[in-house]
Amino acid sequence: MIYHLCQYLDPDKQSLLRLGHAYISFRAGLAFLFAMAIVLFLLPRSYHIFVRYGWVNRQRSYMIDSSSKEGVPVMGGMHIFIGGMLAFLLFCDLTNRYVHIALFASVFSFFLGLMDDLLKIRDGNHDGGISRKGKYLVQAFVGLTVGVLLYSQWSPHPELLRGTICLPAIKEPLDVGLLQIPFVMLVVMFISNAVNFADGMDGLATGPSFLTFMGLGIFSYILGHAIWSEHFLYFYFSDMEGTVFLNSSELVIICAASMGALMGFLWYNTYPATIFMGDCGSMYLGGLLASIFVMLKQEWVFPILGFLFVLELASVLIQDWLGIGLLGRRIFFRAPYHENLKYKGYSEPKIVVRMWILSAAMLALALLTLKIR
Amino acid sequence: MSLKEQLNQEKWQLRNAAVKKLGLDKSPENAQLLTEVLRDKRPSKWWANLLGEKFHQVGFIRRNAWASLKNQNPENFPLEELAMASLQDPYYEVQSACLRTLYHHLRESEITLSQSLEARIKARILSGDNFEIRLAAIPFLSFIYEKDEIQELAAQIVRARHWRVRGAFLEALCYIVEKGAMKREEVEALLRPFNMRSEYFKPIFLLKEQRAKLDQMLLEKS
Repeated sequence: MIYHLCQYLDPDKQSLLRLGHAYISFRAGLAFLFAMAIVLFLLPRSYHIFVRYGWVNRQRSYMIDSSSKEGVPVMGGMHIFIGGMLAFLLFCDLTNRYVHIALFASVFSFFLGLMDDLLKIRDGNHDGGISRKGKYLVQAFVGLTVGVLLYSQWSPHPELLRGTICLPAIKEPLDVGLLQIPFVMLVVMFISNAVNFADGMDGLATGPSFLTFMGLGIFSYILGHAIWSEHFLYFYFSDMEGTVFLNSSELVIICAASMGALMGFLWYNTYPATIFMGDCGSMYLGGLLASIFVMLKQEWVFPILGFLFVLELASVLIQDWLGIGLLGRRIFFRAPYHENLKYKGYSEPKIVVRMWILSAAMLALALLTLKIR
Repeated sequence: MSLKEQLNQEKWQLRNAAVKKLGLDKSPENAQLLTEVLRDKRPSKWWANLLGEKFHQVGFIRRNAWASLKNQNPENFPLEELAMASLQDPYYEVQSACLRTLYHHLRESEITLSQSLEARIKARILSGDNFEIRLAAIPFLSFIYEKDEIQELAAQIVRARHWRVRGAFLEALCYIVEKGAMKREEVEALLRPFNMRSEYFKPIFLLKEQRAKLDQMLLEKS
């Protein structure tokens, strides 16, 4: 809204108000700070409401184990959602189709997670909530809708990019036609679940999500920038006016706002956590990340940029489906992978910080793919 | 369906459930059935073999058979023979479950171990392949080692990568001290090279401890 107000008041970019609509970097900075401030303001004030209504983490036994995480409020993801959404609405160009799709995927995923959290709290069962099938179904719906939107006339992509998939290390996109829709659906489901599995320790999902948004922000800035996209030969077609990802820079604001909200949340979520993000937070982040990855056609960068998430999901799939389900033995000591490290005796802060370091290294590696194509 | 029939089912999940149930009752028949399960070395299907599971009686079944044998009388099954075979099992959980059951019977039933079995257990204490196996083997120190050997071993364990292995050694030492098998100065000499790094650190959440204390009091009053 601030974007539109500034544009309305200063259409010729003559006054300082031009900063509010003409410069992506300025708006991104503001969105970051605003989202962080909102979360930092809201969280300590709403914390007691969560406790009063019993929206807290529950263990299976009656007794409190002094080393357990029982009694810590959940659904802190609500703050990330509110902080992020307010920043999107204030600083984004609300007529931009990239923003519409990102909002759709994130809001839907958030409410799926919220429903899951509320059911778990109602039943007093941490393993309860929406069934696995139910979650997959809703995620498939979100993915399918995003896929159809990207393929249709309504897509923010130009005609020549619709129905295509971009492969790693190859400059030209591959034409797959309608297959793009199920591909997008699977990618959305994969990324949403991967982020959800990583949310198992204090700050474990928060730090890598921050770094993934940072990487995506850099990608969307470059892809949406005429000079940079030409420099990196990123889907730059000289017969078109500038870059084919024209206007995708608006996603920088979304990434920056999400980073700000995550930083505000990490203030309270770092070990020992005052609050957990819960499924509403992890699914919201997963849905939002997934939509940005598919809109920027950087799905294949996810295994690098979101390495930790892939590691967590892969360890669960290998352990549960292949090991426990099929072979009748464990492959890892425990799964997801952070539980494996914990079982080996690593302390929680050490695992979390090392995962952050690993994610930072993978971010650097992902940025290399900008040039190595 | 009887447990014996269930043990012959094709689906490993059903056989696994039967093995667990066999551990609930202490009887010579159950011990015999568990022995047969552990002696069964039929190969697995080709695809399972390819993915790492060698036997028809899958890893969980072999592991749980040992857990069930913990509740059986060691006179009713060939403990030595089964343990010698299982300590070479390719699946680590079978080895660790075997060691735990063996240790249990060693403490509870006063069985004696043959020299060859002792040698195999010593090899597991020293081997650094799998920390879970080492964790299960280290408690045997208090039974199978002489004082001099423990001193030699301490010099090796002090360098173990996993702090839990080093911690298990300290626990074994506690038992040795409890038995009065070593003097205070000797134990202190063993502890000198131990590096007590902050990996041992576990935070104490006083608020949670106080709440737990209150919960305990309420539970006792009710």
